Parts: sequence; structure tokens; C-alpha cells
Amino acid sequence: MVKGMRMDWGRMLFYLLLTAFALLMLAPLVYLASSAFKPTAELFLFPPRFFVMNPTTKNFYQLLLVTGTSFVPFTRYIFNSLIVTTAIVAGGIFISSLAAYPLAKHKMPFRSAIFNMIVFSLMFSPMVLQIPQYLVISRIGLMNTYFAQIIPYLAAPVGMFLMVQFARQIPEALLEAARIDGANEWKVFWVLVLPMLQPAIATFALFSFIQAWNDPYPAMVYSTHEDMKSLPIAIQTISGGAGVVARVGTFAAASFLMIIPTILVFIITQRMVLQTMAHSGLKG
Amino acid sequence: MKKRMRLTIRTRNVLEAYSFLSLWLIGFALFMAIPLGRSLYYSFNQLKVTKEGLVPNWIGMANFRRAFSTDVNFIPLLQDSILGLLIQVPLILIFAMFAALLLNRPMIGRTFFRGVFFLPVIIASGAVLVEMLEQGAERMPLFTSSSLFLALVDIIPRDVLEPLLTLADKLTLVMWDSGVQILIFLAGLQTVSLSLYEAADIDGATKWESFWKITFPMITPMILVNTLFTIVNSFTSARNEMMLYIRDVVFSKNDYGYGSTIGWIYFILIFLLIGLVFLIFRKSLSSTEGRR
Repeated sequence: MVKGMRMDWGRMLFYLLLTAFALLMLAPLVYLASSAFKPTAELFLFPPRFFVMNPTTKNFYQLLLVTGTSFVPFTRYIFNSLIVTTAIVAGGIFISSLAAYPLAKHKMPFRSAIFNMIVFSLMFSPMVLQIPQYLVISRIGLMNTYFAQIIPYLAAPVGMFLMVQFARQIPEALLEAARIDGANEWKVFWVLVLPMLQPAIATFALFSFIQAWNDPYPAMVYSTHEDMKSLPIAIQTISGGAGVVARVGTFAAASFLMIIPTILVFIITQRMVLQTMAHSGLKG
Repeated sequence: MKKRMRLTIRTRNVLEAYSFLSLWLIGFALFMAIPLGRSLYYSFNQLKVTKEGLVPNWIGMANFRRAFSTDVNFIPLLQDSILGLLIQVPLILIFAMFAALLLNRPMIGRTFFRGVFFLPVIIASGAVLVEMLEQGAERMPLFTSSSLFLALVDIIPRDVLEPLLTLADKLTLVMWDSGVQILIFLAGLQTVSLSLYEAADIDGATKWESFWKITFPMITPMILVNTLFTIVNSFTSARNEMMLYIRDVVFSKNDYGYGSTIGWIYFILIFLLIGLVFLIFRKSLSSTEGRR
């Protein structure tokens, strides 16, 4: 693939620079991982060290068995987070792609108005929306259910924006051909549009996974029971509060555990994501 | 079936389109549009928490006046976040451009490097990094606090070293923030056709010249996209001081009316800023349009 791979000085310098940057980029991850295995004595070393010297799994034991946070086992938080996040990602993909298709490819009234609304809402701070959203949820009577943590996030403007931009590039002739061959709109969507949207879907899946997995607010706001809370809250409880000093190790372990699924999702979707960005609707 | 046949193709099309859209529209209306409108309404009100829930009490522009006159925190925070942005945006753009140029060259392990450069986005967007940077005892030792300092302090005088390392820390944070921007630039670079470079090469242009005459003008649209993305991203990120302040007002002080007011002022400001960016880029964009 690469022609003439001579190792001259310029090339050496180039790789050196790249590796230096890459190391800096990897730093937070490595630090997180190494802290998770540090024994208590090392966590409080001054000056703090980057790498662990005597790795131990004590932190993980403490996290899973003793838990320390409350009477709810740590695994319950993992379970809650998994359910909510999976539902948000899957539902969000379905709803956004379904809506993106007509918005990109059909002529209809209010089309540009709807699109402008999406762009508009991308810029608004989510913090201010929390209380009106809360009022809606409590009026529908969904408090303390998983639905309350899922439904508000299904109609995400980000995913919609991405998919509309991407769907615009599907050639009109292809859709026309399918329609002439007698496919109804649903079939056109299912057989043609959805597969062609795949890179955009992967990208959105990654972003919405990161978002949903890390966001403590839904569980904080929409549920009052401890056993409905999610991982990010558990982590905040571990890191804050009265017993901070004792729990630094547990916190490191919990943070490390929390990052793992995100990295897995990244590895799975990575190829598609880089591809989407490479020829996505950004040109439009 | 009979009834359907009577509709014109056009109306049928519209109906079908809306039936596809409906799910999303309902969700959007319930959880974005209505709350948005409400928060605008609340910003002119004082909200009291009573047994019947939140009771709004119309006070007109009082909240807005309060933000600009009596609130001691608001104006400085606003200045800080805008000033921070003015520094951050060019830094991120320059670094992202540089990294994208590096990553666009043919090399061994390109996919790996691209992945690595995107990795901080995954971690940094989460609550974990926020905690990590704020934790006292477990603070991430970057350059400032690490053993690097002790090693270098013998060679370089302390007065020079300390600001240098602080700068390195700040730059690292910038680098972690620019994963998405790097990808967008990479995307832009790949749309530039290779024959342009070949032609320039034959005409005797150096690499430096062809960067400024070909690459740079060709990816101006990406620079616009990246500027917008960076602005919106830093304004709405969880690490933004202003966001934290709004959160504090809303959730700790329970002053929801005032919280929405600040939120809207802030929002209008972003809007103006984005408009300004569009104005700046309009000219250079229209000149690139023809070359594509």
C-alpha cells in the first residue's frame, strides 16, 4: 500500500511526532487503568505517579463485594445502566432513521422548518430543559420507571441531524427505481435507505451510547428509588460524600469499569465512524 | 384501498412522509419543543414551589435585569467563558488541522493512529474525566505535578519551567478536545482530488505552497463546520463554568425562573456568535464554491 517506505530522517521525525501525540492522547486512558490497580498507599503518593508499581485487584473486590455506597449492590447499577443505554441507542436509531428518510428525500410542507428547528435545538443548553421535561414526565406518570429515563432521549436532534445529512446523499434514481419496481415506502426504507445509512447509524450509535452511558441526570431526576439509579450516579456517590479518602481506590476501579463498555462500542463502530466522517453529509 | 386511490400521488406522498416522521415529531415536541417554549415563558416569571407544584408568577423583565445588574457572578462568568472560547477555538482548529494533515499521509498503522486520536473524545465527554481532573488526591498528574517537574527543575530554572509545564497541561486538554474536529478535517482532506496536487507539483510548487494554495482553500468549509462545532460543544459541555452555574441556580437554589433566564441569555449569545462566524466565513466560502 505504501510506496517506497524508506526510513529517512524526515520520516523518522514524522513518526516520532505522531507517536508523541498518540502517547498524550492515550494518557488519560492509561492513567485511569493504572490507578484502578493501585494499592491505597500508591494512590496518595506525592508527587503522584503515572504508572502503578505493585498492581492489586483489591479495589475491584471492594467495589463489587463491599460496595460501600449503600444497600444496593453495584451490579444493580450496571444492570440499570445497560438496560437504559441499550434502549436509548436502539430506539433512537430506529426513530431517527425513520424520520430522517422523508425529511431528506420527500417534498412536503414544513420540511425546512422542521430541519431548522433541529439545528436550533442543537444549540440550546440541556440544563434548562430539565425541569420542563421533568414536569412532562411526572404528568404522564412515568416517574420511577425505566421509561422515564429512556423516552425523553429517543428523539435526539443530534442523530437526526447526522442522518438527514447522510440520507441526502442517497441517489434519487435508486429510490425511484425501487418505487417503479413496486416497492412501497416502507420497503424502500427498510431495504434501501436503512442499509445505506449504516455508517451514519454507527456514528450515532457511538455518540448516543457515550452520551447515555455517562449522563447521570436522567436517573437523578426521574427516579427517587436507589435501585433505579445508574452507574454515573453510583460513581459520583463513591467519589463524593463523607468517606472520600477511603474510597479513592474504589472510585478508580469504578471509573475504569465504566470506561470499558464505551471502548468496546468504539472498537465495534470505529471503522464505520471514521468512514462516515470521511464522506458524510458535512459537505452539504 | 379504494379510498386511498382517490388521493393524489402528492397528498399520498406527504401523508406517508409524515407517518414516518410522526414518532420523532411527537418525541421532539414533548421533550424538546414544549420544554423550550416553557423555559422561555418561565424566564419572565418567578416560580414558587407549592403543594400544587410550580406556580409561575409573572414579573416581566425583572429576571433579565437581575442578570445584568444585581447578579455578581453572571457577568464575570460570561466574560470568562467567551474569553476562554476565543482562545480555545483557534488552538483547537490549528491542532486539529495539524493532526489531520499528519494522519492523512500514507503510513504504517494509520487506522490505529486515527483511532487513538479519537479516543479522548470517548473518555473526555464523560463524567469520569471531569471527576478525574477535579479530584484532589487522585488528580491526574500531567506535566505540572508529575515527576517530570522534579527531573527538569535541575536543568531549567523554576520560574521558566512552571509556566511552561502549565502551558503544556493546557495544550494537552486542547488536544483531548479536538478528536471530532480532527475527523472532520480528515474528511475534508479526502475530498480534495489528488490531481490538483499533481498539477501543482508539475508546475514546481513546493509542499508549503500547495498547502496554502490548494489544501487550505479547499477545506475552508470544514473550518467553518469545525468552528461552529467547537463553539456549540464548548458552550454546552458539562465542564463549562456557565453550565455549572446554571445547574447550581436551578437545582441547588431552586430558582428555576432565573435559571431559565440565564439559559436564554446565554443561548442568544451563542446564536449571535454563530451568526458572526457565518458572516466572517461568507466571503471565503462563496469564493471556494466555484472551484469545487
